Amino acid sequence: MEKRALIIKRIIAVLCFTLILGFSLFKTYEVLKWKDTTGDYLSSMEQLYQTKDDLIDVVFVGSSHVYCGVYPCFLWEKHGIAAFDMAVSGQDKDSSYHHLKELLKTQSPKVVFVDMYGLTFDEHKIEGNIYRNLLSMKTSLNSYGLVKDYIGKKDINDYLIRWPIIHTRYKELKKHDFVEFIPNTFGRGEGIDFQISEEKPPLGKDDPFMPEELSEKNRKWLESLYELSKKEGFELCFFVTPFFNTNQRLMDAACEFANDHGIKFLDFNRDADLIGIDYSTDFADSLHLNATGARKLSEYLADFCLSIASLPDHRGDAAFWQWDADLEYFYKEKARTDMERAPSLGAFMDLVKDNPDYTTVISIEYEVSGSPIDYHSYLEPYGVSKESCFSGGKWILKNGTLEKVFENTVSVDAYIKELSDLDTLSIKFVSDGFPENVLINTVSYSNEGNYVSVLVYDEKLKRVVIHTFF
Amino acid sequence: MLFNSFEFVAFFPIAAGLYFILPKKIKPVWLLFASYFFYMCWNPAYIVLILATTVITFASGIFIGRASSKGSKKAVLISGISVNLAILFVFKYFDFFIDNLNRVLGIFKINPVSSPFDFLLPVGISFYTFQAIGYVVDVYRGNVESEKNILNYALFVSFFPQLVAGPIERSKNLLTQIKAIREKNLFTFEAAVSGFSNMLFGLFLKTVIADRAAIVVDRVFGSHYMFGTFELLLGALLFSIQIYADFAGYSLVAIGAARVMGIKLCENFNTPYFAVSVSDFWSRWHISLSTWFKDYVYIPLGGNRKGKIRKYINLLITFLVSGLWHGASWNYVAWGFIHGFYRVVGEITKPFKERLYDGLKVKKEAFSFKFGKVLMTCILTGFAWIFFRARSLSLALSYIKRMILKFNPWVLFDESLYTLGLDRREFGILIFALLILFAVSVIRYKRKIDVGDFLNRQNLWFRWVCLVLLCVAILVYGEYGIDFDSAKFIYFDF
Repeated sequence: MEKRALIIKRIIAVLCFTLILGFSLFKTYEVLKWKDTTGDYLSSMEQLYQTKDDLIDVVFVGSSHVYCGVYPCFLWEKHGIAAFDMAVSGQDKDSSYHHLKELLKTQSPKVVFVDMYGLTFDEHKIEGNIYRNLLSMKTSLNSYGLVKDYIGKKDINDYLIRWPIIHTRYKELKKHDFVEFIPNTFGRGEGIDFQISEEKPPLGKDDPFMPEELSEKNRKWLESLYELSKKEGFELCFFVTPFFNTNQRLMDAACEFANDHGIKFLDFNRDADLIGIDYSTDFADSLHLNATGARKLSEYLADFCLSIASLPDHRGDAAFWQWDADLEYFYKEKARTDMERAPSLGAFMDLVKDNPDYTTVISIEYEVSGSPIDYHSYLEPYGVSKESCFSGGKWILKNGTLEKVFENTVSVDAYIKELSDLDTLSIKFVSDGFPENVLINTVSYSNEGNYVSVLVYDEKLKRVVIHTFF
Repeated sequence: MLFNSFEFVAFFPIAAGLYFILPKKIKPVWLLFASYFFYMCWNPAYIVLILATTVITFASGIFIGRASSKGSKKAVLISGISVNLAILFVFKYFDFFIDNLNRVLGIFKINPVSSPFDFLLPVGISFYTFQAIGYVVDVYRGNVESEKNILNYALFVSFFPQLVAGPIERSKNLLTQIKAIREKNLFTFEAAVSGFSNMLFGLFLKTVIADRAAIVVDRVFGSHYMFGTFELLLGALLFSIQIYADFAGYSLVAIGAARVMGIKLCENFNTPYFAVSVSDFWSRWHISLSTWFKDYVYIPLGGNRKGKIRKYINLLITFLVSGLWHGASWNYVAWGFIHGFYRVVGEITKPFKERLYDGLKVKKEAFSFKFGKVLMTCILTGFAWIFFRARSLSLALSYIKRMILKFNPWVLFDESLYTLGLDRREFGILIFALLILFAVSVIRYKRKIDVGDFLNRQNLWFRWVCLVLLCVAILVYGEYGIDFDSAKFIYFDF
């Protein structure tokens, strides 16, 4: 009896130890795992996993061309279409097929657009893009299939087990490896970019239709997508976003394939005029549209979707809150760009004053009285006297109200404000010219020798929006 | 299949798990099958060699047991050993022999001969050959009975935890346990936990310390002509650490894996860098090999029984052979010679040193005295390791020359040491891991128990925390994976 009890005790001990070990390794993996598909912790895969079942009506599958060129928030804004970018940087053919399959596990889209850029390459040239495409999916038979298809036999175990690749990330861990990156909770796949780069129309744009022969791998990919559409019952469309394409004949070949199979094909290199693309304003670089270009393309696609499928307007439906949040996020990003370009302190304050999510800290050095710019005129509408402005200090602008919270005096205790569960604002004046008198946690957002420093913190996204000087 | 591979992580639980649940009679057969599978993962063809060694030495044992006269026993012994050494020679030393022969022929302007073979060195050949030879000699000496069951014997030669890099087992220890597998249950829960702990700590030594130190070592030894005194000193120091963590780590995994299955392998390392003399070092470093050389080379040569001069010659011969055992290259021979030289000089100067200490009234019981001896031993062995690590004798000499002549103390201050492959963070990890190794070594030194047994004696929470942290440390900070050219255990090549 005693022996039996001992055996049971040991079995329980082994099980408990295995559980604790498993839990520890799981939590370690969560920290170390590859987290972004777009860069900077933005992950369309994570955004997909955060989406409840059967909400997505339209999917755009592809690479950065897609997440830079099609913003689901614009389809939502225009027609209330629940669209999603299943897009990963440099998405290859195998990845696009398996990523789409991953989405189809929980969603039943009516229309699926697949970007044809994948035809132009077979293997990734950027190591990070291999990881983005192969390691961002949850482990399943589908992720195994992706690794098997893309990697083949070489290094397959490293990609399947993942630890051999991701363990070295201990060298680059940052805050969002431990704390959720909030835009992933609502984002719909787009990567918002307001940069402007003057570009030229692509080569071969106006060439006659001259399809080249599709390689076996390319043909197989297109066929697999076609078969998947038949099996899952969605309307399949192939499309090409505007970019500096040097291989129009390959896109023509895809077009020919599409025509043969009754698949709709939209080539926005050939038909750039159709959506009013302006090569001097609508690109972020030669391969990617910026937000202006993306709006043109997205709004065209919104109309096109309605012309080929019956898509309900989900606006106002609480279940689709992520699309609302996504649109709000777009406008916040736009506002940030506007803030960067604000010509004066007054214009800047106009941009931030009414957003309830923002806490804005305005730090003024006492030497401001000697400045050629009349800063006081910007503060006066908020009831700040000239004396108060000229003596310097720190003001907080919140919900349209400007409140002085700190004088630039050594004797005063530090001003402390909890901005979120992660971030604490502290203001302390140690001595004249002390460089670190406005801090969030331990990071300085001080004047750095400028008359006026402005810091905007978004309490909802729990992050600094901008820190700039006037 | 390396111990630090996911293949082994999958293989070992299956091998050990089935070993537990199979009936006693089947257990040795299963272990033999698992061992051969393990070996064939490197190169299936070389299973023929291990089978040949097994059959030859098994038959030698049987014939020695049956031989009626001492002369015929000796004839069987010599032929058994010769055939095994011939196999070892062909696969390990033939190219070395041809190279040197061609050098000699070149002196006399005779056309060189080319090697008729193009073999890869079979993994672990030196280890299992020596183990098998040891068995034949033991049977000849009457220390053990010849084994009648070839399955038992084949498992003795090929037992997978120690097959490719030792410890080089004696038949009295391992074969006796293998024979007992059919009769009694060797498994105990405590031994299994202790074995598992040893395996983890061994992997920690290998992946976190040895392979991390190897990054700097490979860089410094690979381009020593770029560096001055302090980089080269650092390279030599880190190689001393690397080879210890690598080989002691391997031995711990081997000993631990066997212990999980209830089999106790002999000790292979006992805090060698705490040794107070080179002689003491060799009683703590690769113990199974040094005792093998002592029992089967040094003593048969006459040991210390034939006067001082013969003793010194015997010591030198033993260390030269030991050097050659480590590799078919003159730098290994030089390494062996240096250690032999240390031993001889140590023996000769011992009375003078004692007189000097007494004359200077040195406090021999003081910590500083012992520490000084430990430090001196580390310097001497560390110097010899340069010959071991350099790819040739001339490179070793060039390394040492630069280390002496290219004095560059500024590199200690301008952070250029962080450009040798390990940045500040990586050095921090290495130093932290070394502190853990030091703490474990102190426990080993003071309490005479290994890390597995030490943890077994602790409270559950402490043991579990240590084991979980070891697992996490290996998986996170271990050097392995896609960007890492996974280093074999250094001793696999010997």
